[in-house]
Amino acid sequence: MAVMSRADLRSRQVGRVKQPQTIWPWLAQRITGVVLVVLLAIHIGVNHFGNLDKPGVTERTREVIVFSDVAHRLAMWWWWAIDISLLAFVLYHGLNGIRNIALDLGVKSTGDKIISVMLTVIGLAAFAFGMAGIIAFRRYG
Amino acid sequence: MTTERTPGGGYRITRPYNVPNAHVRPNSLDTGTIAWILHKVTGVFLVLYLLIHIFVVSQGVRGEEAFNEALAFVQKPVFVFLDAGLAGVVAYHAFNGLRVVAFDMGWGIRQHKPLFWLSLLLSVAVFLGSLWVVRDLL
Repeated sequence: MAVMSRADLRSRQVGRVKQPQTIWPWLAQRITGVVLVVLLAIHIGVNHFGNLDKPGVTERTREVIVFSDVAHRLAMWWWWAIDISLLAFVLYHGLNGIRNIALDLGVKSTGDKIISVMLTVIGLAAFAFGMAGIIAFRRYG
Repeated sequence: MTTERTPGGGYRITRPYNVPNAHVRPNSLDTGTIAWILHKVTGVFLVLYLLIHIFVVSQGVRGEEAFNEALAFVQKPVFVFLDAGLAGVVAYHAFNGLRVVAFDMGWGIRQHKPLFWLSLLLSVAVFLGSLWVVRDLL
């Protein structure tokens, strides 16, 4: 290839793509993603599909999950740790993923700030509601 | 893909590198592009599911009866089937996500195409395995 001038190099750059200001959201997305693979395997295996045989039931039955099943599970403290960290990690990963799509679509600094604030509000509201839902099993259980 | 005039009077096919987000405007549907699109689509779907899921399973705030009523509704056979599908979608997003993280670490980039098909195959296996686990509830 022929030697290119500065102007040539500039014209060949991917135009006006704003470079990320910080690496932390990218890194957090990776870390939460890898942790979620483990947490979701536990969550889906135990909570979604693991209730088929309840304690004391020897045969496979068409029992559905009820309040007391979850209250029984949440009597063990480590389930609080798993559920609360799952709630926080999955909300960050999901909502930051929405922001990543917005950035891919070319949203710039002001739009990015608006979207980030909106997603943060949604995330905090969902986290608060989910926490209230978990605490309810202690209150009524 | 776009064309531009050349001095000789002909056309030259060029990629539109001067558009703001050229890096997310692929001009072909290669394996990596399909994997990327599926990752984004499943991701958006999972966020929507997540918000509904948090709302449903937090009905305990309204008391035990409200929780049991909500959970009985989402454990009808059609939802049990969809739950198995959800497990498959989560599995694809997880396996493809691990594939992306592996590339970030510099692992397996040369095998990126077979790794995509492996992700897809494993997620179909997770879907079918989930269906088998919940077969009595269908």
